Amino acid sequence: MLRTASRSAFRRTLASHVKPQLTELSNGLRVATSTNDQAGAATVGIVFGSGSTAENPYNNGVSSIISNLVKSEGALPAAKLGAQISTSVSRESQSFLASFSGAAGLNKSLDLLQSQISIASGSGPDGAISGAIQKSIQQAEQFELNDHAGRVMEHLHATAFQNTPLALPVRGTVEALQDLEKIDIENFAKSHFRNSNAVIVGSGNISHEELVKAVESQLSLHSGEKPELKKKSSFLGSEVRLRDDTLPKAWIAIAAEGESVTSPNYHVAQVAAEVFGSFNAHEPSSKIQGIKLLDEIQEYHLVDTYDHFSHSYKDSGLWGFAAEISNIGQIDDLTHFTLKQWNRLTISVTEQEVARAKSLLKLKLGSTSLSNVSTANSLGANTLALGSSPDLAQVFEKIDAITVSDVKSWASSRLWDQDIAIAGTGQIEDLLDYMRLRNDMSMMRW
Amino acid sequence: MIGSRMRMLAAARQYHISAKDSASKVSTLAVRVHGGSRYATKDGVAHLLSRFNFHNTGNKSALRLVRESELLGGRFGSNVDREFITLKATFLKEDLPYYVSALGDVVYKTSFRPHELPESVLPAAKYDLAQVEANPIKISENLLYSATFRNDLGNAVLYDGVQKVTLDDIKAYADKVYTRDNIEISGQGVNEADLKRFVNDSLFASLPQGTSLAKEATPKTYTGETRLRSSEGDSVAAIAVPVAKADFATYEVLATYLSSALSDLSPLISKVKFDSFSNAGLFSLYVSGADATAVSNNIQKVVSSLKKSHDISVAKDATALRLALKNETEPFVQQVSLDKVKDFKLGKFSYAAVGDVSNLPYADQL
Amino acid sequence: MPQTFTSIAKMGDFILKTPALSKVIVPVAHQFVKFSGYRKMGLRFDDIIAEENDIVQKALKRIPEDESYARNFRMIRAHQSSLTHHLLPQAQWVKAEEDTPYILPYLLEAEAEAQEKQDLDNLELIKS
Repeated sequence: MLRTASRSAFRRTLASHVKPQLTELSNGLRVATSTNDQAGAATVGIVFGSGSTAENPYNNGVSSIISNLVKSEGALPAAKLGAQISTSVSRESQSFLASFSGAAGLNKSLDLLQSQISIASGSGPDGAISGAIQKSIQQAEQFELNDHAGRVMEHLHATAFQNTPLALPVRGTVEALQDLEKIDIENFAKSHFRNSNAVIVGSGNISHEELVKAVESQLSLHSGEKPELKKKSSFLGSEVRLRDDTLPKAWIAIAAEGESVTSPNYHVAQVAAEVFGSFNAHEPSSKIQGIKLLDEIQEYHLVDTYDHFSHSYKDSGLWGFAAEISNIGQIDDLTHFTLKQWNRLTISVTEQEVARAKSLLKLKLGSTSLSNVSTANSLGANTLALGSSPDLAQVFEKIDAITVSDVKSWASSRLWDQDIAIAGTGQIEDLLDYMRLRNDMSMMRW
Repeated sequence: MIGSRMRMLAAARQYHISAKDSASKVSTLAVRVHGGSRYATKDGVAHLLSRFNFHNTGNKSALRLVRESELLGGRFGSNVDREFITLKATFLKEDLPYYVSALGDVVYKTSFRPHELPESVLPAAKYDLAQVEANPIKISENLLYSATFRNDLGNAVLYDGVQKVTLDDIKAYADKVYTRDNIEISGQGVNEADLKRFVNDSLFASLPQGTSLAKEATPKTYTGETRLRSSEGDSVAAIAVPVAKADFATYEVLATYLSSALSDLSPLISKVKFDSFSNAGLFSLYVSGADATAVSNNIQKVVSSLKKSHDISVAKDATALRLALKNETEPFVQQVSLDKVKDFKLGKFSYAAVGDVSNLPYADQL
Repeated sequence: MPQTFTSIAKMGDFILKTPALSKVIVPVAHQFVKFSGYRKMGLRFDDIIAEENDIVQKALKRIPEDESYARNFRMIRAHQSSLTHHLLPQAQWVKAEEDTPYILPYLLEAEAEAQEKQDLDNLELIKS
């Protein structure tokens, strides 16, 4: 039994928590900040609701090119100002952030971002654009060649959401990237980098009012309606295998359809994923975690590392696990035991497992807000998807309220006897066929 | 009773405790010990001690610690480098007392059961070593350290079995480095008064006084060249310069300058690193690639350019930001005054070549 | 309750602590050892503990190398005696003072670990 007496006595001394603030300007642009006045630096930036889902198979990778363009063109002016540009592309958002320290940094950083966005929208020099395209092609090739775990996750999206926007790889395909030209980039930027599709974010040591004032006077983006996706993304049980016996290991991922970001069960799915969590066979403390699955897979070293995830997007999500396996002769045992444990979420998950998962989820969510850049990114993505970014304290309250029966009823509707998507690469001879795996999503009796 | 009160007062006076409160929901607690590889009595003993952290203690088994910790929502780890063994725990804010006492247990009461060494510690240490040995840049960094400092800062960080380390060696080393004057405690997202109170209530207060092992005298440095044939991964050509304490600021700025767009050389360079220690630092620069001939050309270009004087003061602001961002996430804050930084010109340096060394230049060819 | 090494050791300690019990049981135990005859085959009591389970296997992995070597030697020697249907020459019989429990401490530790794991796997949460 764990003593918690000291905890309750201690609670009162905690520093008060600052909630994220949101202002909508008259031109439709939203400004969101999450302030931490103890921080020595601040980050401002623009997050657009574009990303790879806004692309199509013919311009797939254009967000990645723009990201590289801003990085290469913006690096020098940023360094001269003493600022640092970071860009990122995900499936449903794209961000351009500038970090700076000192009070004078805000206006200069916004100017910098403004000029970078106009470069991205087509006023960049031709040499820089072709350089950015080459860079994106190189990144896509390197990713295909070296990042097997990442590739399996891209394949998992490609098969699970086939023929819908979420299927497209974030970095783009080499084939599509090769054919892209300046005009494609301009068109994409013009139709997506608009007021209605953007959030200005600020995190760290920054004042909301000052940012709003500065944005009103300094920043202007294209106006116009927010572009709507032509197609909704939808999940389809299916599999894709890229067997390659020349690779040293096997990488696999299996997932059922998860929750969308707007779903009331968003956090329940995250808690369910945290019940099985992550495992690394090389780390002593990882081997003694309170995960019942570990007892079954450790004796025969069925897996090197695994990670359970709950990825959520606007229309749909993926809930499952990805694993790296050197014991390639027993992948069938690994998948069997893992999926049988997933069955337990519906029928016999315990109070203790859920409590553990809730605590670890809170830690995970709390840890991402430790750096300004990741705070700014999640602030932008949340504001775009949900209308406003929830306060972490509220999120924690929601997680605290989740019970074992919530997890059970979620699992019985979303996991028990549901279709799955499977992806694998490397030495996957032993990855069972679709029906055998699908059959493990339920049991005849228990 | 009076005795213990006295001891608590003494502890409060002598611990190096720093804390920074914040509104975040998660706190980090770090304990750093001057027990890194430069203080090691045998090669690798610091690494094994670091890997022994968070194993069974007199109060709590490793299993119980992990299970309790995950129910509270926390994680922990121990890391070793040339100067420090750093124990770090990240946890939900209200669990501070638990983690102070858990870390206190680890430094004061680790049991060092004989079976833990072969069953758990050695396999983990071996994996750490394998990770580094698969990375040519890391290998060349280690070569540069041993060429520049020979022993002390040049000691091997990770245990490789060249010198046999027994359980008794590890225990003796733990007794030597885990003393009150030799450790610093830092909290992020933690109230300083709370932290001090909890430290005094924990087993930290029972640690022997000891003396700080931190070295202040400037170490002797050398210039050397090492070459290592290897077919694993890219070829690397790297140079390193030992840095005296007075020049730390220049090299912090130089590292930013060479890795940012401010310098034309940055596309040629794979990695620039400046490590500062209590009494010296090492600036190192790596050029790597699959094609050794290209690496050879690039390192020659970089070195010949650096031998001319560069005005690096343009990178001061960027460096200030980099340090500010680093201080944001790292528990132990580092202050450097960049005001006087102006020019840089490369003088003598150590050199390491790893990979296809037949096609990589020698130091005198640079 | 199933018998474990922990419970046996506890019972033994209790008997030794209670003069009335130990006066009766200790001589019986000595007779038992004498009639079971393992010492005459050059074995110690800890050599004849059934080793086909996880607890004993774990303990066997953890005993010092020289103990492990000596144990293997005694086993091979006992097998040879058994094969030839001879007892060892009396000089080589294991004396009472040599028949010390060299695995038992490791067994107790392994059992305590397994017990702790089982307890932690089946924690009950008390809402506070």
